[in-house]
Amino acid sequence: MLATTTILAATMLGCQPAGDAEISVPDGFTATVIHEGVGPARHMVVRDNGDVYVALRQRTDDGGIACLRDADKDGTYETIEYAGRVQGTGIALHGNWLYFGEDFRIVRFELPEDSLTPVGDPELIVSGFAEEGQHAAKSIDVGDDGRLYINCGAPANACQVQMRTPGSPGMDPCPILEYAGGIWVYDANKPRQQHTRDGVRYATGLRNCVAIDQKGDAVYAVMHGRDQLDSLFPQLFTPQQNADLPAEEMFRLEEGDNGGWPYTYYDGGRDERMLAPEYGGDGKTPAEKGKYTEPIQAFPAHWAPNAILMYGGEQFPEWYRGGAFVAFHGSWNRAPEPQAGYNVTFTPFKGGKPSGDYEVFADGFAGSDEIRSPRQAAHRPMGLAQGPDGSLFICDSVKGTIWRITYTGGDE
Amino acid sequence: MRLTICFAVTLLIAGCGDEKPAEPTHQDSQKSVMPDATAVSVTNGQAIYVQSCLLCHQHDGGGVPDMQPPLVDSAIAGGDADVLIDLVLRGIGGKPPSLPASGKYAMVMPGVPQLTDQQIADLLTYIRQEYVQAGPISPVEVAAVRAKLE
Repeated sequence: MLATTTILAATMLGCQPAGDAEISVPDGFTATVIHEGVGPARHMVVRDNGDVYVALRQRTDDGGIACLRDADKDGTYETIEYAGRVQGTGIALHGNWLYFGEDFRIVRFELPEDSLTPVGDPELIVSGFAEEGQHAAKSIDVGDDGRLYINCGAPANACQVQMRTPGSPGMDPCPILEYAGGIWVYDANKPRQQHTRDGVRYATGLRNCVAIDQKGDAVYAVMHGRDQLDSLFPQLFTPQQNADLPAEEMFRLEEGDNGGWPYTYYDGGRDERMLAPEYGGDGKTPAEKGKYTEPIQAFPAHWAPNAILMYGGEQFPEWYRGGAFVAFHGSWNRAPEPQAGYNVTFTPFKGGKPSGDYEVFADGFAGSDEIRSPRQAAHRPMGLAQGPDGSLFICDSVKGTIWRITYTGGDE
Repeated sequence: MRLTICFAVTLLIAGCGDEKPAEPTHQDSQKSVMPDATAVSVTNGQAIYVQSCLLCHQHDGGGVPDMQPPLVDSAIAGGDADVLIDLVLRGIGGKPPSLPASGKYAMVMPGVPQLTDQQIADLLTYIRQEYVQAGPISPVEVAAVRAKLE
């Protein structure tokens, strides 16, 4: 099904083709590079008028939001400007506001109609996040309900008494869950809110869901599962088992749900939630049934899901409508096995749940068949967005290359 | 363990600039080269590196962008021995470290005080020889820093 497509970049912005990483997409689709590299990209959004906004992990002298415009709608984004004294991961659009998630605060900028760049100073929306490092990236989404959803990653691997220390037990209850390890929801229009005082813990037991997308009455999220099973519990797990465990879990979250971190992990091979070794597990003991939210899909371990997009467009064939694209940043923690991921998958949905297994939709970003370390990857898929015409946008974190995927296969 | 010394020496000669250095196998063996104390330390330290450090700092000491810093040419790894020993014993300490020039790294390194003085000396001697071309560290130096912290 997959066929390599030519990246049409030569005529755009005077850029050269990526060359080092021609990505492959399914037959009937075309991948076009709309920018060779905007900088260290994180998440992205596309406005109703087609303007593209990319959050940068490190801001340029002019700002940490890359703003791109294709004024004559010929597919070439002639204009790029940088704006906003911010840097981070999360970015979202809501009315004439551009929301931005820095690691320890959420702000918004006014984005007047027809203006490519946001104007004025950032308005503080939520602050007070614990500054502890590890999983501090705040991915955000303003949902269909107009509320602001924030991923608050847990500053831990498995809530051990002694962080990442062999044999150290887990804290029970895990105190981190009071302020992180979950998704919080806030009023999108109220300034100067304080985490956790002014928000609601929408869902808990989530180690780090960089990938979130609120649609309808649920938040679709994909979680970075824990790691180091073998090095923390060598008597219970082999390095090979660590490479294959645990699954990266996709959830359909409703308010009050609990994904089971840190007390459990999900074994994709057994298709079963297991008791974590920090809490008495031994790799063979399942978690208590019915206590935690089950994943709606289990992805391979350590692939690092960094974005999810529930496809709401009509450009792509029926198979794709309402389904989930997931961008996998690619693993760093499968040694001694080769690293894996570095792709964008698609999962078909029906009735709010997957109707089939995932398939690799876009691949070849890393530019090499075998990756031993993420530094070898030419590109790492990071952000996803949908254009007003139903095109799919993908950005990578290494160079900030942006691809636009269109369906060119004609009638179904 | 002594049988793997020549493999470690070969690694040192080959240097650390290769994009894809061979994974440590601990299986090569030759008896023609007599080890000195540092070579023994490097060999033992490499095994500790594989067990305790490789996952994060990677097979070639190159780290992971934005996550874990590289050891290759690291000013900390090649710098003051007491600072380095302290770092290994206590870890980063729960604060997001701001490292000069290369920005923040998301991961917070745990300490490994459960290792013996000899093991930490071996580990750091290996890291310094392999990744920063700095001198060895002795168990006496580790013991002195550990005593100060207790």
